[in-house]
Amino acid sequence: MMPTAMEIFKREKARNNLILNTVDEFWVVQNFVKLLDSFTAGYWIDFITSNKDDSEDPIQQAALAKT
Amino acid sequence: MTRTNLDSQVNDDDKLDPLEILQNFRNRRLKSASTTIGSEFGDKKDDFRIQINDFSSPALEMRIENSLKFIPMWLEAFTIMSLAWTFQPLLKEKARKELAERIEAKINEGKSDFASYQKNKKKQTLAKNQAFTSMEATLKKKVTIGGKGGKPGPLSGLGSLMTKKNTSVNAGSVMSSASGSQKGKSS
Repeated sequence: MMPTAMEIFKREKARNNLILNTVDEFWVVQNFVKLLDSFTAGYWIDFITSNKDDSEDPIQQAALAKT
Repeated sequence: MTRTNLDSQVNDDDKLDPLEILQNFRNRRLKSASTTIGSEFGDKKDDFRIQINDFSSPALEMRIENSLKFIPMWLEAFTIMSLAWTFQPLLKEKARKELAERIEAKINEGKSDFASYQKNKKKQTLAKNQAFTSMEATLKKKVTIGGKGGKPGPLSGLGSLMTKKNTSVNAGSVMSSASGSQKGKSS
């Protein structure tokens, strides 16, 4: 998908038909990687690290010990 | 003018420790849980305590389970979303629509269920194996044809590599035999 998008981007840039004409490929790729990183990091925090057993979670253990 | 004590006007709720609120909630919850379940198990209402995980609910656990099950789907969604958010502020309406159409075409092209994926994989593996066996057979055939004429053929060196007995033959000997055959041809 990325080559397709880059192809369109380059073509439009050559035609001077972009909304932001000053951006280059570096900016595009950097933005793409940053977004991807944000999504995967959020996913990792929400679903992978939080999906652990109560016994492995010290905060939960401390809270349960009080009851 | 009389000075009023501001501390006396502060609502008691503002002084509450959040941990106390949590504890209060916990006590109430445990009480209700023991009452409900205790009624099913006789009169052990006071002694019976169950611990419930506050940080998870069946709905949440289902969400986590699903999210773990469909990791590739999530990653695909992240990729498409990142792509859309990267190019959306750059491209104008027309180019944006073109990109959307091409992405959609790619997604539809790659869309398949697991059964057809397995079928395709099996087909590919079979085709690969067949190609390999046919190549091997061709090589062996060429070697035997070269050997019949008495003269060493162009693949005679490879023939010695194919046989199990001459496993120690190195590339140098193969090259020398090949050059020998060429010399024979030229003379």
